[in-house]
Amino acid sequence: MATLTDIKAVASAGIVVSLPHAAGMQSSLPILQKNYKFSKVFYWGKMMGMKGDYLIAKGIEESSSTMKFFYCTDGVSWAELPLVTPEMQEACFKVATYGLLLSGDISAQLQIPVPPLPEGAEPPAEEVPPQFVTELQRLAVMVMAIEMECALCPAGALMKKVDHTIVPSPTYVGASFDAACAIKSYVYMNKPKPVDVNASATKAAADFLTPASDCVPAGSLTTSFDAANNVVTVRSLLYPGFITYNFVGMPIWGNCYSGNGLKNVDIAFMLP
Amino acid sequence: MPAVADAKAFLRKTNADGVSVYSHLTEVLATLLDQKPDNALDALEGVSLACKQKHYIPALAVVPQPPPELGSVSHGEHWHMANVAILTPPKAGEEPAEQGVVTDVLSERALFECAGVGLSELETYRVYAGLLALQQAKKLSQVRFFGKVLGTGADYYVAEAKYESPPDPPEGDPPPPPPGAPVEESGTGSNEFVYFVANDPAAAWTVLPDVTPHAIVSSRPIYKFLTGNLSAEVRAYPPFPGKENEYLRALIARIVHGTTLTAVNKFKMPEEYEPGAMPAQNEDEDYKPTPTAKLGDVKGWCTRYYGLLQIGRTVNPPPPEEELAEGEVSKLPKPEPELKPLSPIDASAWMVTTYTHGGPAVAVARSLKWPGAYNAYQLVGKKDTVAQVYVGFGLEALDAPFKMQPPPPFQHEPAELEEQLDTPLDEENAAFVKLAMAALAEEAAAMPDPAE
Repeated sequence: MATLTDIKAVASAGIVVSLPHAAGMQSSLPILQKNYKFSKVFYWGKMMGMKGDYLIAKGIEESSSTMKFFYCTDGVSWAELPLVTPEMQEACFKVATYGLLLSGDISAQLQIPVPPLPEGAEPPAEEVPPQFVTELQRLAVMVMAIEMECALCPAGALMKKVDHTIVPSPTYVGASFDAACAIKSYVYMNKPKPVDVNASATKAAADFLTPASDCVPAGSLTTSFDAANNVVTVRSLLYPGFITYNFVGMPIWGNCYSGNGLKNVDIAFMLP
Repeated sequence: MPAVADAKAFLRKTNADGVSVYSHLTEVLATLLDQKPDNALDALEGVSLACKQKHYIPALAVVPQPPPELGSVSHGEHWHMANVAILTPPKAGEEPAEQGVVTDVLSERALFECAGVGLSELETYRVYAGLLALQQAKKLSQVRFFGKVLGTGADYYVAEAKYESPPDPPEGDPPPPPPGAPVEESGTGSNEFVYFVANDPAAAWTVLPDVTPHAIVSSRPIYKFLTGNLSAEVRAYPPFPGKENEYLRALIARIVHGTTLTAVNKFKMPEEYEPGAMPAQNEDEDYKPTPTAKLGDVKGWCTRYYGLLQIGRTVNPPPPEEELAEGEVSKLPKPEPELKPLSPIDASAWMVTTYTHGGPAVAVARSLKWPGAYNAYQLVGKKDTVAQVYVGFGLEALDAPFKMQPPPPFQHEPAELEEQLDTPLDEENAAFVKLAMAALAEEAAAMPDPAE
């Protein structure tokens, strides 16, 4: 989730938005916001497939925890991604093999392999029709997984109101250089931490998310400072291509993804 | 009621201006009661500020102490200084130094932007300024921006270059050759170019050592992120022979030889050539650059350089001469078939597309094998441009989950020793007698003959 004006903050990692896409989204995102009555709409990132790419947008309602995702290929004509259900996640898990990329064709289908019959079991009397996972469902599941596992925000930038809606904190003014470079000053946007009844009242409203320093494996988040834009970026090595940016001393931050949507399952061998 | 007294005392604690919470609240409430605004609650903060203002006298305000001098410079200061130095344009009248060819990084950037990859315009400009400075400092005949290799601690900007005249080799004995296939000489094969890296394009560039086949072969079973520090150890198994600079150089060689493409027909192999010869620009009279639309298909692209063989070289080393008796079969490994330049590319390893919006069309080939490697092609008028860029972690996409090579098997228990019979005493003594006799005979020979 990045605004188009801040997208330059992630260019130091090689992510840019082409002019036709950026220009298209300047008009299409506000329309999306109006039609769906969102409080905010962001450019979320790009999912790269074998034959084509999908641009993803994210709309949030009043609370930043209620979100909807949209995809398109041209930056203009958005369509909503289906709501992710546990059944969908399970079906995608069954078809996923190592390094299986999105095809780039939204109507593509993948057949769910039928598990082999246990020994001695009778084959079912009726032929079970083959089950399929569509690319649309895979895309939705992948986007949701990345959002849930990676999205970061600076600690204190979001607060929980009494009705449990999560909104930007009006008292957050930005992080100093040293704080912005430390992983411990970030929290996972979508990972609430267990409620601590003993927490002090002055902190409870802003301190309700899991700190990023709890990331597994340790060292899977790295920070780098871009002196030209005075911005600190946090890169995820677990989902290479996922970047959080945080302007030093300003309450401007966001996340952006550009990659093939796959989790780096080899990370245990790769950290230096 | 000591608690109430305590609370009251706390609230009456005054600050330097003689104002306490108690007196301030009294004043705020008095003002509100005096003025009786309709929206008293909303006006509260404003009134509070106004009351505070009354006690603030600018002339008496204490100037805050300047912050203590810090030993270190503020963040980003080194970066700003280095960039100011490199971005200062040459003064008027100063003869511009002789220039080699530095590729137009900025116009190439525009091609890759269509595909959503590349650095920002400003960062690219700084890279360009850095490349120019590098070209001047090292006397390079051509410089190209290879790309940015991301690391966990810092990133590498990589420049691909050729020297005008190769630097003299360091004096003294040459180091012993590494194991494996013989190294390809500078200026040929995998060492066709010399690579310079910097963590920041405004800083000094460091030259990477020539790549050895041994390093390439050793880098294949390793799957490690780079740290951004050239002298860092590559902590992996099997151990990598060298530091991160050699690991990075091996990865660059694999990327360059695996992902550099060109348009079909743009280059031609000479009619007769030796192994390792490079294709040259097609200069036929009837040569017409390919229309961009044709490069929207994998058939429009072909490889630009030799591919790397299993032995870590681009071509097989010349076979050592051996004399074979009739009927004897050579024990030397068979030469591998070479991966020649201008070969067609594998459709399953590339994502190829054209971007037709926003100016002349651009064809882009994205490597699926090496995520982050891009080739772009654009035809404007009669000028065709092919460009490559790499922005990524320097690692290839694997076909199967990474498996670390297992350590060598344990040594087995040695075989039981067989018991031997003792040598019979006579035989043992015979050996000693023989030795003693030999020594005596030698002594006798050395003695002067008493007859003389």
